[in-house]
Amino acid sequence: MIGRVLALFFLCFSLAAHPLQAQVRGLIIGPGAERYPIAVSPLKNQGSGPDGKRFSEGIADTIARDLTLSGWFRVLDRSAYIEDPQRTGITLGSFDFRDWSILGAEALIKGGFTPQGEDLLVELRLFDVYQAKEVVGKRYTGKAKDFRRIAHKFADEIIFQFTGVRGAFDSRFAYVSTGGGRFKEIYVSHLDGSDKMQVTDNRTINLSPAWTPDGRSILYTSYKEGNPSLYVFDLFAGKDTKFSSRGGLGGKWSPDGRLAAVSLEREGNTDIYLLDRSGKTARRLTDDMAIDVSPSWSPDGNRLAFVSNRSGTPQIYILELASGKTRRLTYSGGYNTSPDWSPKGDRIAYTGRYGGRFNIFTIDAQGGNPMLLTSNSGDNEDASWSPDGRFLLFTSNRRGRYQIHIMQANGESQQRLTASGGDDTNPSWSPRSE
Amino acid sequence: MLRVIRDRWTWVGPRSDLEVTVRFGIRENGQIVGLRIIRLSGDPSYDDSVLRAVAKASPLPPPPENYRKEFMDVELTFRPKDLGG
Repeated sequence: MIGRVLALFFLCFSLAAHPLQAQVRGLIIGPGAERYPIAVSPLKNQGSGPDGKRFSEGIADTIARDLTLSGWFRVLDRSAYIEDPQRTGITLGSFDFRDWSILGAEALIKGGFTPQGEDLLVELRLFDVYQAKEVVGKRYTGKAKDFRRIAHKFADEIIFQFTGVRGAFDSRFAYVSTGGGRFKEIYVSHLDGSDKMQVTDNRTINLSPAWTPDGRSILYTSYKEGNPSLYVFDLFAGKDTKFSSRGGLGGKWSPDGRLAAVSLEREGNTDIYLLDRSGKTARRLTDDMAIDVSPSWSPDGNRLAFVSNRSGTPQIYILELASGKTRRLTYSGGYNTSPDWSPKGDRIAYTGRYGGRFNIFTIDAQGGNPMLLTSNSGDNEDASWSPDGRFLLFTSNRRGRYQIHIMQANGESQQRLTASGGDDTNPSWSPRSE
Repeated sequence: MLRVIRDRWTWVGPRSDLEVTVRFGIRENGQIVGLRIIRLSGDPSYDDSVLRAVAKASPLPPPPENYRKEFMDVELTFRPKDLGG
């Protein structure tokens, strides 16, 4: 396996000669493979009405799912929990940590909720079981129907407490699905599959969804009027508008949202152009006989990664917008496509053919140090970074049909997200929700 | 022996500069005795995770016969790994 990252730990031993030192000394870097054991208790109903588990278990389930998807936690099976959350408190001193330490839980989440008409008041707390102390507590108010968003927000808070960087689970992703039929439609969903929404319904082919930086709209390519063109769907207003009247394939908004880089076919040749917000051409970026497609912006908006077959095979290139200078990024393998620039700017994810299958790689944005993240698991394509740069979405046919999967940015902890029955492809992770 | 302890160590934390050192003995039967921290990390939760990992690893595989005396005095240092971000 080329460039496969080695697990970040090593073990070493030495025998000491000095009498004051211990006879045997050792160093351990990085905890073992086991994930951090955490218990997520169902929430206490602090209101007067019945709950029917909707909020009590619904919020706990959503937090548990997010923590599991992060790959850092092992959520302990609820059927083993000893205490009754409806009969104990949710604050320090009102429950017994031994009920949790005996299960092997090293951290514990407890909480309560109070329905208030159409609203919901939720209080959530994270405890360190062995230190017997509260790590963080938060109160949230929202519409009762949006209870899962509150859970996602607290999961992101837990990840902040543990890793120093807020999680990215209060966000969504867009993808393309055949949904069992022969058409390709665009959908948007939370990472846990909840609040799934069908964006297009025109019974043709719709591709390459890309978010506006404000997370409000999706730019996509559709064949609904015959030739492929770009459209913008406003998720809040539910409004669809044609973006480019002159055709277009696959576009991405610049980080400041003022321009879109798109590939357009003009006079039989496909090049990359910048369009302004009204869809008018602002600038032509590439001008050669080759096919130039799949632009992806650097987070500072100064450069674009794109795919070109100018060398004979599809490879990834970097274009510096100010100077117009282009350099080739990928050299290994005869087929490298679908670049996605990480939000931190340091790495670019892409799809490469390796071992006769498509696989996900990342490479330094400066070039070099390619790292294979998937292998021996069918075809893996279309990587999309999380807004915090620590995860990637991708599509894989490792279980037959193409399904959207998530993994950590180093390739660890690969887990399936969708199972629509059809082929789910082209994932695009939304910006953070505010 | 190090692998056994490492596999029982669970920790997720924002700081990659923490370091804790423990000292203990390993008896002929592999039992860990006299476990104590000789250098604290400054983060009690981190210190605690290391103590738990070592305690959970007892009994360890018996130490090599020729080094039983040496293994009655073991010093282990633990550093976390960088989680990125």
